[in-house]
Amino acid sequence: MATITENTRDEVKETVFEFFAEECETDVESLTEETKIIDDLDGDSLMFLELIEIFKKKYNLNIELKTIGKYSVKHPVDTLGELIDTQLLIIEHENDILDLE
Amino acid sequence: MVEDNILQIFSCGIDIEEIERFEKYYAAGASFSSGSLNELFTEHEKIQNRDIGSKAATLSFCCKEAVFKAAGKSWRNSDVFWTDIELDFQEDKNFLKHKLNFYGTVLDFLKEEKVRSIKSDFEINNSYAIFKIVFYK
Repeated sequence: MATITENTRDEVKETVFEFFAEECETDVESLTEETKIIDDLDGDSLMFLELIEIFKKKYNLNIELKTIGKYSVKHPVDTLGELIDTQLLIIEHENDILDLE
Repeated sequence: MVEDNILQIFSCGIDIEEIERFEKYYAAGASFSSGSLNELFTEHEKIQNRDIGSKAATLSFCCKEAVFKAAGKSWRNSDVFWTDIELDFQEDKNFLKHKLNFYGTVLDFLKEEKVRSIKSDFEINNSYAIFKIVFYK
């Protein structure tokens, strides 16, 4: 499990914003934590999966997609801010994220 | 009154995917990484992806998304998972044949909803894959 530092949220936010700006062909400056991934950016499942893969490699995470899916059933993600917060929990708890409930 | 032998459309799903988005992961003959995308595919589909390449991976993913839509479910709002659906090209690398196999929660859903027939079709070119599926009761 990774230790979350003060800089971790900034790193995750930067990665998430840059990823969606590139994938959705929009200016990173136009994105906020309130931006809705599907309604505003036309995001899709593959974008979620690619982002998960980026973070798995970046933080050497041990987490399965099934675990993320099960967590998302009870904690749906609509906005970039919610995605950042969920990603931080994944980085901190990895496959143990379901134990938080 | 509806006769038992008449099939009625229960639901349908359609999905379109860009092949380019899969090419970086599933170029034909490329060695497989242990990345998250591999978790989406059954063992049989992984072999197809390896042998046929990104078009097979794109179509299989497209098929799974279309089935999710027809079932009104998603991996992030229910227990369904991509490996509950398998697209089998029946060893035809030209995509002239296909067969769908269902497992787990998707199979349970089809039984619970008493889906009696399923029709599916797809189109693929060098840029896009489109998969369509209709459930009948």
